[in-house]
Amino acid sequence: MQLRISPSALILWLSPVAMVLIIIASILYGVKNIDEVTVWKAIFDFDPNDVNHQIVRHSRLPRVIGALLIGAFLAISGAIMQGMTRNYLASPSIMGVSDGSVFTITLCMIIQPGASSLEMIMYSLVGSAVAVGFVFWMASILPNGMSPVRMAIIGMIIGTFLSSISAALSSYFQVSQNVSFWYNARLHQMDPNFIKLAVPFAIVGLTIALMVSKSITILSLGEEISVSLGQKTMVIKALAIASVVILTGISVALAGNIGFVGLIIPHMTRFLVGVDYRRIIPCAGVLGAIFLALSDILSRFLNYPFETPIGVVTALIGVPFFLYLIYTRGGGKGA
Amino acid sequence: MKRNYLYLGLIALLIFVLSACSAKESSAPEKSGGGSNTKQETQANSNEKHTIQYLGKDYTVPVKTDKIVITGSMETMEDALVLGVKPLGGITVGGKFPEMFKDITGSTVSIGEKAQPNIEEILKLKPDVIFSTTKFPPDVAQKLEKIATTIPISHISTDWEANLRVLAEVTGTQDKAEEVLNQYKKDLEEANAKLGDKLKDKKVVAVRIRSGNIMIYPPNVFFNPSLYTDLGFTVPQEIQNAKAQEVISLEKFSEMNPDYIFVQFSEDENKNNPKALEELQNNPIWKSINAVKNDKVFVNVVDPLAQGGTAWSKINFLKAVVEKLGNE
Repeated sequence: MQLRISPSALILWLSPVAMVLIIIASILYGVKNIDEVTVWKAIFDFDPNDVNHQIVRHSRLPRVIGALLIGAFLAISGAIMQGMTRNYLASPSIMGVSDGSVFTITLCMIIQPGASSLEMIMYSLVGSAVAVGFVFWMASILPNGMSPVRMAIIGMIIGTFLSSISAALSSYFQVSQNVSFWYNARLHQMDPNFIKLAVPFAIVGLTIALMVSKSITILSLGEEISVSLGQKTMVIKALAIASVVILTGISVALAGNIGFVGLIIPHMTRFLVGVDYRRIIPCAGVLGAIFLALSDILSRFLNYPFETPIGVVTALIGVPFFLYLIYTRGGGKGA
Repeated sequence: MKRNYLYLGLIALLIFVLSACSAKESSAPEKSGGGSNTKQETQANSNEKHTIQYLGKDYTVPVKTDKIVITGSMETMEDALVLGVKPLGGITVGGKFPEMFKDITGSTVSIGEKAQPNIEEILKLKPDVIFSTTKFPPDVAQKLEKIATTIPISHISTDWEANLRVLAEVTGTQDKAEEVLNQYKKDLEEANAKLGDKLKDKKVVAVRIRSGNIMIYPPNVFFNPSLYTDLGFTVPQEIQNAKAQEVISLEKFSEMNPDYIFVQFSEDENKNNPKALEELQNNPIWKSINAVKNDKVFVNVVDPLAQGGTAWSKINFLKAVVEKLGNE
């Protein structure tokens, strides 16, 4: 027992230090050279006429905070999805969240090409919500549709359906390049206003996630066991999915599709801290945040001075590490 | 024993059928290939044909024809606009011909979108020559070649003169093409004389904005040959480093700190008031760029659908540059 608790405690205690270090690194190292003194001044003695101060405040700071938040959101929703569906291949996008968003963004680019970023973010959220609502509606009218596995299948089907329609539309109206850019590399466009927008979602989504974490552990033992243990599985599932949708929806809307975080981080966390979701969920959040922020720093330097899509970086780091984990610890408790 | 014979017989039949099928399959393309060859030969006898050269390759085409189809190459659409050539079939964007081509597309039939040629539609039009693009995958190119002589047009900006000339040669508008090319050279000389040396050490860039991303291009792509080769502005290091279309962060762009920026929005509608630009204008980092401070940002000086490396794009871009920078 002692051994099992300590990794999670270690992760949670060390995380604030790690995050501060990452924030500092992320602000100091960008494509433009800005020295430490200027950074210090930008934060504590802000001069709006100084370009470097503006860059620190309007580009680097929001960027790293955005990366931390989104990394945490995606990892937590991934952990919830995997626990709830008892499927270690489940990722947050399985409920049609991102496909719904792609669909509305494609429509928006065709019908209202000049929309502002904030409008686009709203459209993306609406799209996600509608797609998930549709998945739920289908699940509720189909026999046994609410079972996690079946729901995941319905989510996949609807997601694939929506994304194929969006692909057809975007290639017909020749907006596919714009659409793909909207989903590829947007962490560097993070604006302080977007972060403010994300805060309420973060509070609601994270609170629910932590609230249901204990029940998810029980749910991950199987539907029958959790019912026989006296759990209201419907309520738990609804709450869990609500938090996944909120967290994933806002991440997709703010930064586009970032793969691998929602899939790999929960796995890594399980390898490190065991199968109790009360530990997995907060630890996954912390690890996801750190992972994405580090990937973001790398993305600035892979193809210097141009931006590399963050999804490429997460895949480049994530896959080898994932394979390493499977190789060294695989076959055992985790996956 | 009888049964065995039956089986043997069945197997023999099966083998026969299978081999017949596969033989048919393998012979089919040859046959049709041979067929189209003989067809071309007979056509060559009845119509006057000659051989033209384009980018080191020979093509046999009618001496003069209006029956052309343009697919995949927006560059050729622009060339047709310059030469006043009305193609039988052309490329539509979102199901309709863009506004900028309205002079030549009055009676033109849509043969699909840029990357999705409708082979059946092209076949129906019975063109003499098809202008396609070097960007098409080989299977599409092969299909087009079966319909008519297909000339894949280069999308590289520096091939613009050859692109214009090959269309002129096919459609018998060589005089017009030479006139246009000479006029451009004259305009360019005038422009260089007018702009003189006073802007030589200024940083001038042309960028495209896509979904809020700032895109820059290598020196031989987009409007860059116009700026750096024709007008002789200094190529900024970042442009020099770009290998293809690259996303540049606002942070890096502000470090580049251009003195003049030509912004092209790829959205063709709403082009006078894109909100993404408003957002940029409110961004303090964007505001710190020299060009922005001095109000030297020019948006969509030519139609944002223009490809950059064509006669039409170059002529109109040159005009715009002279107009915007002439009085500096």
